Amino acid sequence: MWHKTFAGLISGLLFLLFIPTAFSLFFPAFIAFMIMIAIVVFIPVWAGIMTYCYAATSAKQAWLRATTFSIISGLFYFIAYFTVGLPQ
Amino acid sequence: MNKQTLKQLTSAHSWLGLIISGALMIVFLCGSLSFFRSNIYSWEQYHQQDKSLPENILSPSDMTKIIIDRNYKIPIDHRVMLIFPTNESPQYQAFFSTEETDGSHKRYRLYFDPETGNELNKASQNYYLADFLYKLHIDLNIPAGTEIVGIVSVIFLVIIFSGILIHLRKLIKYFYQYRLTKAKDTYLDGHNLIGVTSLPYTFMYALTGVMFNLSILFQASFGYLVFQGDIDALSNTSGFVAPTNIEPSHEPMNWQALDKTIKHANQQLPGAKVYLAKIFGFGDENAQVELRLVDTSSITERLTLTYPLKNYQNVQSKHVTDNPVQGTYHILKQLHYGSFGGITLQFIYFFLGLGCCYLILSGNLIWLEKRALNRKQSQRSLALVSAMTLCLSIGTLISVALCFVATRFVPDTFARTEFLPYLFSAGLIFSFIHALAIKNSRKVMVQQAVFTAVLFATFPIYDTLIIILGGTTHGSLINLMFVNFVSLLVSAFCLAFAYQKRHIQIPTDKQKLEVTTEK
Repeated sequence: MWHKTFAGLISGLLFLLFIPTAFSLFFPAFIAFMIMIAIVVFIPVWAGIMTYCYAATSAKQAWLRATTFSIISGLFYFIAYFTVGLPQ
Repeated sequence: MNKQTLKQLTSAHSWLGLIISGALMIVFLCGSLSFFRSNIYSWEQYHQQDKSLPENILSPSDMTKIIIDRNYKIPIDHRVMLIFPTNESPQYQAFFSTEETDGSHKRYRLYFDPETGNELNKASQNYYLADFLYKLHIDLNIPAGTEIVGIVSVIFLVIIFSGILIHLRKLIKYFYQYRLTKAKDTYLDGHNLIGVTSLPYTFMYALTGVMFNLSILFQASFGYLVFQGDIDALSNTSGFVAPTNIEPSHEPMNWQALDKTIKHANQQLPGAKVYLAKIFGFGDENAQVELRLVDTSSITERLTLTYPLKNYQNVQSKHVTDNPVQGTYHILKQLHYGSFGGITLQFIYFFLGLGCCYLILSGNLIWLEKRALNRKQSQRSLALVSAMTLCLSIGTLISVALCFVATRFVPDTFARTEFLPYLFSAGLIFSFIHALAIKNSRKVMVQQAVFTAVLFATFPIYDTLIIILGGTTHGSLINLMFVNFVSLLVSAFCLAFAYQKRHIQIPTDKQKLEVTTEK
């Protein structure tokens, strides 16, 4: 249970932190809108990822699922950072 | 969904529910009662000296002048918040912090007589129940409680999602199913019925709980990953700006203009009145006052007006929907408080809150009785887990009831800010010891629910007797009756819960043995 909890909590949190901020880098004129989306959509997504990890049949599967989400979100942010860069 | 996934989700649902049940129970119970916070505040003072709002009171400007004359060393970048007197809370309240000679800050919360401007004695600050319940609701009255409640809210969201997935195929088909023959079925059906009915409500509360308590996550992510640590830029973008960059002129503040700004502001949004003023750069000529108008009958109407006191005609006006972040935050906040729907919606929210308390209690009981059937389970560890679970769920009801009783019966001179938290803990300890002594979790719940019902009925009976016997009473009778009615509703809820649990067939040792053998 602890493995699933930490796997879901951490990967969901990374998703919540990186995806809306990456979109904000792509669309700097809509940062306020992205914060709004982060509150309304990405908080339930965080809980959704946690639920997905809890549904795993083993700790290994939970960490695998968590790693997938973490890599996707991290990669997306770094693509945004190195292609668009920070807003001036 | 395959059986294995369903099994994992059911396991997660019950374990997570058990772990956060204590915190969730406190948050829901105290939150439900906090809908009537101002009424409770008025109820607390009812039998004391005359606290009703006098006809002729000092204006906010006069009150500001009194604070200026006291020469507090308030830093220029700090603000003074002045809350105006109301019928429920008939005194001026001032909140600010001063800078001491060693550089430390000292917080002040002062109460003033609205008629004379004299600072009220400490006894008048003793009315702590309403604030204490609200504090328990937002941070459990413990260090780092805000963040803990935030994490609990995330887990609550997971419990909601897993509950939906477990029950998905039966969500509508078995909505009206309520089997009374077996205890397990009755618990489960009741749990599912209330869980499905209150789904939009619980989802909204879980979401807003995360938003209020873990907003630091958004500050950190957007502040550092988007704005490179420029928090001021983030504040500007999200609309959380206050006039803190005030250049001091070292000339006296035009305090007389405050009444004019309030008069002007009160005409800007129909249905809304200014109830507090935030003064930035307090005491200086360049001070600015921020006034906020909230139309509580609407979820989108909020106007923030910023006036320079030097020249109050140069007002800046911002509507909440001008900024998407402010708009979202405000709408979710209004949904959380439910004031836009008036007293009717607040009562619906209150009943749904009690429904959530039932969800927690019945969920715990399902888990505990299922564990009790398992013969392999160590009886000592089960007794300990049961006692802890019960003290944090049903014990919370006892603790809150004790706080109400103490507020009514303990002498007014008692420092309740210190007393109530101890009493709350004492209620939990009592519940824990009782649960350890009795061992049968259902019996414990029934007995403690009846005890809570008696406690919640004590002070309405006392108040009624005092009024009938012609005792001296001063405060608002409507608020007194209102809070006593709410207390009787909680009492009725506890009695109904106890009655239902008592009349469900308890499995005998023979039945337990049969279940174990079948396994």
